Amino acid sequence: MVLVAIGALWSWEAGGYGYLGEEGRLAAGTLPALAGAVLALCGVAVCLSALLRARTSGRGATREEPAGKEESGESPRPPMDARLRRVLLLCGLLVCLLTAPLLGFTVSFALLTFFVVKVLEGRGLLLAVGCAGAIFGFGYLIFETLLQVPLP
Amino acid sequence: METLTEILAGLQAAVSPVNILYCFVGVTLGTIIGMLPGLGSATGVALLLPLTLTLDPLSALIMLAGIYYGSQYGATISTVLVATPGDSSSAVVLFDGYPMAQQGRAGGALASAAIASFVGGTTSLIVLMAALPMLSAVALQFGPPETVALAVLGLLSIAGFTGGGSLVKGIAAAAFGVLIATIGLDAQSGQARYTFGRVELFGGLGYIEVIIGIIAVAEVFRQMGRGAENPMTTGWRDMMITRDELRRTWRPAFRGSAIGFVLGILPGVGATLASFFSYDVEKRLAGPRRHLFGTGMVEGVAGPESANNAATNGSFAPTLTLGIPGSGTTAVLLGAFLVFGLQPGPLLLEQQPTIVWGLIISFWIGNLILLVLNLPLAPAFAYVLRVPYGLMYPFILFLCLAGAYSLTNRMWSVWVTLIFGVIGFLMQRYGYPVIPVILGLILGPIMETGLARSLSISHGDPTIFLTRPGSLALLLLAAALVMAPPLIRRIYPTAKSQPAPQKEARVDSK
Repeated sequence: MVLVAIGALWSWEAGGYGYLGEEGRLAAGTLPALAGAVLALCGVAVCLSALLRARTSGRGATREEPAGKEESGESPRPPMDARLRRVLLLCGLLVCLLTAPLLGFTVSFALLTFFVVKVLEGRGLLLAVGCAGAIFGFGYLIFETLLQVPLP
Repeated sequence: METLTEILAGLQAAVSPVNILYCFVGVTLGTIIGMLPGLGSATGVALLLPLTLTLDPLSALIMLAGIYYGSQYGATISTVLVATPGDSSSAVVLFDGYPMAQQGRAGGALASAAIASFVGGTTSLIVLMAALPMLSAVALQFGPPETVALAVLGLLSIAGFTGGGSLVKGIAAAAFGVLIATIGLDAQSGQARYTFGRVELFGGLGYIEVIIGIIAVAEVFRQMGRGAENPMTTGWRDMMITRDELRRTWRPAFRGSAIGFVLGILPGVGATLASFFSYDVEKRLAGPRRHLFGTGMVEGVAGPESANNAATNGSFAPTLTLGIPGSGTTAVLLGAFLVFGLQPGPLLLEQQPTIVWGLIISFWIGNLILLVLNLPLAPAFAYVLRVPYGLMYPFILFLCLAGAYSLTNRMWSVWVTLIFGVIGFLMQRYGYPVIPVILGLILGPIMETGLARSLSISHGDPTIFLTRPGSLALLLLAAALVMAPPLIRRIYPTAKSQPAPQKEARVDSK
């Protein structure tokens, strides 16, 4: 449904740029409209095939099975549910990027690394501090000194 | 004669100490990246691309290509030693490579793989060098309608082969790529499209930001729960290949080279199919020993490994001459070419012969470095596998986001990378391949310009694509390639019906 929505929206918006130019030539909206239509059609096809599968297998769920394999459980001590960890990592990244202009990119990222290693991965304090320090050193040496990238 | 002069200029550039150094760095990093199950060759190239931006284009491309084929061999090391293929193209080596390691013949398997890789790499390069001028000459005859047909061929072939069984999802991903390529100023009319008044969007979304996000950042989200591996320990003495294993390596290696190159030059087919096909050929040719495949046959390692490497080189033929990537990683490399102001396609060989020949010759140097490096050092490399992924991914994320920042020196690029990281993760989670997105992003503008010119030539008549033999042939080929995967799966179900390895494998398919 998301694909259908994006495709339809894109095609609709493309109308504002013109679907066709003079003498059937290309207008600014032609390709976006075409690509949007293809995306929407694919979305419809995916929905229909999911519905058909659900009907034939007798299961009510239409939700796709995740394609990527989940964790193999080889982490030494998985401290929390994988989905929660992903959400927390994303939140951590958002905070890190928002504070980067204030604290500096490498400092923010070092703090994020500490949070990841200590909280999300459940490792020891020393290791977390070590990794955070390593990120800071790596960022400073490679990006700021070697590549001369003016990180914020 | 002119070609020979250009090849010599390329050779001179490739053997310069600086480029040999970058080649060495590339294959070494590639080997390490390939071994880590969370990082495939496409991720590795995307991840390290920003670090090459300050380099000379040839040096940068040599290093990135080194990462590509280095990672193919690295994936074999992890396949043999921990039954965890770092890349889908090495998955087939699991069937015999891992049993060999379990029998104390890890050295034989790794050495045979290294030799076969070298044979595959060398023979395919000779053929590539012979074929490239011819392919370029043909491609030079292409006009706008053929360019559009070629772009359609590239999009559909990649979508068809990387759709993970669903062609519709592959096409949806390619269409999504084309959609995001339309963000920014329209090249024909100068009209701003989908910019929502944001000045940052006027120039469109950067290829590299999207590539890093959708491949590397998304992969971190996908793999973040992975732990450390416990590779089989292999001593220096065990690394010796026996005379019998060496004797049984040559023929499969040459057969694999031929199979790999032929399948590698087909856009979208890639190394995975080549390695599985080669395995099947070796199995069929084994006669009464056929039943031993899956228990530790060196032919089951040498053939696929050679095919894998030959396909990697072969995939550069459509990339360099037509601008249509032959594999997922060459799609990422295509983005790298564009960043350095080089447009892969019919004119590349004519306009940048030193870069093209220098790059191709560097493949052979890289293969030689891989052979010398990996014969004695594979067990040492395997120790990298002991580092838990939980300690690696903060570094990977830092490289991704700081690398994205270094592209424009603006936080905007970092946000784009993160957003596409989330999109890429969601796409993978719901079974949508991400490589067609990149291809759509790269080929979208080419397709739009070609469409505009074609319709201008034909005064708005869209049948121009069907009345010109070149474009018609390419469109028919596109249709054939779209129909090929389901047919191949039906006729050739080997990939799904191989003997189960003795340890459950994890394959990272991209």
